Amino acid sequence: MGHSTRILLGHNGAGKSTLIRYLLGFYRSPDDHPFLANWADVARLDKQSLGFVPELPWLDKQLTGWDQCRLMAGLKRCRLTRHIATELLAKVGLPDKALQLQIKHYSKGMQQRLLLALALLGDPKTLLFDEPLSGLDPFGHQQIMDLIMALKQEKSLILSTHQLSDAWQLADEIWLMQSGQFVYRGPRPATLEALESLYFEYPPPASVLVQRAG
Amino acid sequence: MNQLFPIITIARATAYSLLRSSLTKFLLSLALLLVLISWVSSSVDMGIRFRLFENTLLATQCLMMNLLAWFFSFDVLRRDESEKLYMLPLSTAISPGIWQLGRFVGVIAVLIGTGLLLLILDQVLLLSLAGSLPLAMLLQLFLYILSACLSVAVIFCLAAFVPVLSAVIYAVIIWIIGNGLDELLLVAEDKFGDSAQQLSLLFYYLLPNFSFFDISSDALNHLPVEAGDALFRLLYPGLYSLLLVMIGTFAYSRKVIGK
Repeated sequence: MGHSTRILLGHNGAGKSTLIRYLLGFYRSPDDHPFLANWADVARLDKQSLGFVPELPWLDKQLTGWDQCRLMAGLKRCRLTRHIATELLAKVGLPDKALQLQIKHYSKGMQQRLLLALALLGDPKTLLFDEPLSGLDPFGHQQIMDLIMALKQEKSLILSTHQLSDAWQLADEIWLMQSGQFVYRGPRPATLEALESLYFEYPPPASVLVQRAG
Repeated sequence: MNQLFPIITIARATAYSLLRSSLTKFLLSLALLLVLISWVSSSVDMGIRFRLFENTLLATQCLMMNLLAWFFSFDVLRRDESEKLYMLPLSTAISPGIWQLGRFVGVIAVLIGTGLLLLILDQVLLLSLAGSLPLAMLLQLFLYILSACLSVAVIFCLAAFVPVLSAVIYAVIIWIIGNGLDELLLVAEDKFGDSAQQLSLLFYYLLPNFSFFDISSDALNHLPVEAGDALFRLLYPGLYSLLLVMIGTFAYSRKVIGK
């Protein structure tokens, strides 16, 4: 079976992060969030073969890179040696000395790379990214983008982003959301301009704008 | 058995994180300083040799163990709450309950490790100064470790229902009340009627009874330890903590993650 890349698009508050939490199985019942009723046909992901890259560096800053790798490898029940960890770090462009360094000394870009390395532990079939490119400078953005492009050849990806040019570069399929509902689920439009036109057809509803202004 | 490995993995990461915290290092230095102050006071003669030393040693160990319990629990749970450290681990196949259990075991491991180190230091000092190791003194020092473990269980249980800071504040209040439950029972028996006695008896057994961990007068007077009594005092925190952790873990597993 081939690998596909699905991109989640939508305005702030459209439900992209909520959908990611739903895919991760964080909600227990349909009453836990009002959007959940709209996603009955979306299957949750198999967490046995999944790597998750969150938007924010939800990492214990007191731990070293090695400690964090051991924690995630233990939870994923996959084998980890120093050699494997070093290779993984090299794959995401981190030096091996990062293993010894406490995460509080990492830059934002380094933390994002470590998150990617942690997601790759255990060689999962699917990678789930929640806005992995936000907050990075243009250099960091390009480096992470290159890494994701390389991973696209090997794995199925699900990625949420606000950057339409990134979305267009990466996507095989677009899932466009508005207020928790899918307004488009289909192949990537032929051009970036077509994707932009599609995206701007579904602005945030007035209620969301009023809430934000309030 | 299948869940044991993730619990150990989480506990190990929790312990490493705690041990690398600068506030932990500060508290451990403070504990050592207090032991040193107790040792300096050993030269003061109060009629019975080393009475003052033993007295200050017990008081400081009681204080330090509970300070460590409150700080460790607060540090771990607050960072989970504010930095969402559980999100990445919970993207694997483990459940929220297992995560919380692993955190609890990690805190307890560091607490017991620290407590045992202090206990060994205390015993070496006592042995070198007094030339003997009273069993009651050893038991009292160990009971302080268990008392601190029960405090951690109280905080972890409460944190499943209220914000972490509130959980710690409530736990401190429960600790203060729990330490006075034996006096409450005595006063109720002496001064009040049957209903007050029944009520105080209910509190005595229902609330975490920290007065079970206080045998300091026996320890200071070097009285012999009764095996049955010691066994009860050693088993009580384990069973009570187990109950609290089960309640906390169940409540935590019902929560919606990352809301």
